[in-house]
Amino acid sequence: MHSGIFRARQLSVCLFFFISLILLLLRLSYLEVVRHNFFSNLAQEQHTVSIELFPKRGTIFDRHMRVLAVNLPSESIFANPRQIIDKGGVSKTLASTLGLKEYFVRNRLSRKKSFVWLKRKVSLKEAAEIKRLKIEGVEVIEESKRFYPNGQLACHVLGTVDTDNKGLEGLESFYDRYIKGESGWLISAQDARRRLVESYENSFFPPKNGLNLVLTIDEVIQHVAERELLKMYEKYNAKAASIIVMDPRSGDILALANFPNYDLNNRGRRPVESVRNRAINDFFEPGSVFKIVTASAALEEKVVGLNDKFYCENGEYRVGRRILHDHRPHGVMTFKEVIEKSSNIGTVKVASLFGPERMYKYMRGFGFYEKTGIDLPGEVTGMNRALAKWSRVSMLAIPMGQEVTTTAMQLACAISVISNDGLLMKPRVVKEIVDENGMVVKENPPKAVRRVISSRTAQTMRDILMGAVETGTGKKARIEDYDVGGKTGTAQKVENGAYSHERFIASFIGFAPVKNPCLSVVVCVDEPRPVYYGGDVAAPVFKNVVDESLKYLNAKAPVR
Amino acid sequence: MRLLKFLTVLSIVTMAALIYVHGQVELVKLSYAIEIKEKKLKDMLDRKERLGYNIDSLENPSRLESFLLAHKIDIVFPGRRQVVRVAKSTAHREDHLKKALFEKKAGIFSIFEFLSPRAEAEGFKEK
Repeated sequence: MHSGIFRARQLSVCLFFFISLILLLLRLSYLEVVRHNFFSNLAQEQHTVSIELFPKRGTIFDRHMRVLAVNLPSESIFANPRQIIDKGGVSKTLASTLGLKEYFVRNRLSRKKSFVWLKRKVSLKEAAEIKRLKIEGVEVIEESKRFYPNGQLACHVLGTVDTDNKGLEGLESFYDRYIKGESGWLISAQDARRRLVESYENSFFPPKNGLNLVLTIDEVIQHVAERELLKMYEKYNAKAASIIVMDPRSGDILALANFPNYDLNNRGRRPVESVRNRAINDFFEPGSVFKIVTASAALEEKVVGLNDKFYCENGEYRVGRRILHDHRPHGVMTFKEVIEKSSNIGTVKVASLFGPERMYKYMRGFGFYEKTGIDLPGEVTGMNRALAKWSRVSMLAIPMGQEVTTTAMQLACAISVISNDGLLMKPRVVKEIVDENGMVVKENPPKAVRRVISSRTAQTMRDILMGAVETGTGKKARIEDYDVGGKTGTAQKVENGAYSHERFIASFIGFAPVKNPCLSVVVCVDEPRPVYYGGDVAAPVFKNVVDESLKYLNAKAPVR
Repeated sequence: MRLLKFLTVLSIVTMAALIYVHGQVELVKLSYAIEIKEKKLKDMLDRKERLGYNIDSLENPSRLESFLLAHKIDIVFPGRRQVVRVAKSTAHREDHLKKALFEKKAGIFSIFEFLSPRAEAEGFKEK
């Protein structure tokens, strides 16, 4: 009897454990088989992380492969507000370390988010200090930042990027799609401390770094141009100034500068008036520099000879209700002297020999009715009326550069026509686009747009413009070691619908050496004071820039 | 006998499992070591880039000019009359002669130049 009870108890215990085991096995099967996908995905999410790999933005080089813009690693500070307990104390510490306002930091830390930016792309010192403090919930992440080793050099050409390295202005914007690159991805396992764990299961899609730009800009010539322009800009208290140095044979822009300018590494502090690339964004009435178009037209149409005489009315010429003035009274002058001494009356009389249709034709030929096509954003063209809309008195104004508007870039291309034996070249800033290994990916070859005047006419014009420097209004552009040619301009600005007698644009356009020009230069100065003549303000800038540039380029020229 | 066999099999399976686990642990340790080395390499490459940037900044023409000015070092370009061009070497003259001969030869065949592709700027046409 006792053995029977014992056996029954034995069986019950076994049954109990057996049933428990069955239940556990069933539960295990449910979790491992039925809910397999759910738990597998949960584990995958916890242990696998996908990281975007940001590409390196392309570098911008000058024509001799000197760095003008480059991306460097930079750290940014972010916080997880949910992990920060003492928000007040942490705000105070972070504000003093990062140079921020305390209320700003506290506002950020009060947000109900797990990620907030505190400060992007901080200095090395600030990042090191944050790492040293080891504040719970505040971390450092690596990004990259755009740096410009030369500060403000060529600022309007290079342009700027925003905090996310997206091009906003200049070449950074125009060529953004080439230099920004493409992100890659890393899908990797991570441990509980979010450290990446190398595994054969990792997937890696490498980022495609941005392509590099090789410019036509020469860092040295750019510096010389900016230095000389700045000296004049400060001396004459000008409102603004621009200079363009171009190789007329290829259209290469060797230097392009505007004042006021700004430091590319301190974009946030730049004054509003320094933002514009005035050389291509602004148009103005060119004044006497435009006479090169009138003179070229007259020679090309063979309506004048160099020694044909014109009576310049002793400085005052009445035509109907309009009176034309010369800045100095002249009597009888040859055609050559009319241009050298910049007589408005003589120029108008020359233009009357070929008429408005041909004037319009050469204006179009020289490119004053279209954009130059330079590879920079925001280029404008002057507001010039079609021939049908010209008035009866237009031919009293247009030949001497009034009633016509142009940009500095259009003037540079126009003088380059004369320098380049009559061929109009398309200006270019980027020579080629190369990859990380220096292999050329895309070329931007020189492009001839059209022939505007014959080679003979161009040669004659060069001689006339050399005379303008030797004996005419451009004496202050004369260089000791080289023959140069050019034209001065002093254009009245329009104020309240009339030409002002106090506000002028002083300019000088020229080239050197005369026999085989390798440089064309345009200098434009807005409202210089108290002196305002192009021959006094702009011509010396041309002289200094061309003198130093030619020596730097080791240009071969006959010794004077 | 049966028990011995069972224990043998169990030991073998246990050893295999232990070896596998050891392998995985070593793999993870290596990955941490690789990550540390990669970070060190990256830091050094970043430092190299920053140094390169510093060199470019120091070679900035404006900075060099200011330095020369500060130290009262006046550098001017020589005048054209101060430059004496040294005559080219014999080897260079020979190359030049060969080139001239070649051009002379090409002159004979210049009548066939129309066959070769050549870019020409078109004259301006009035609309």
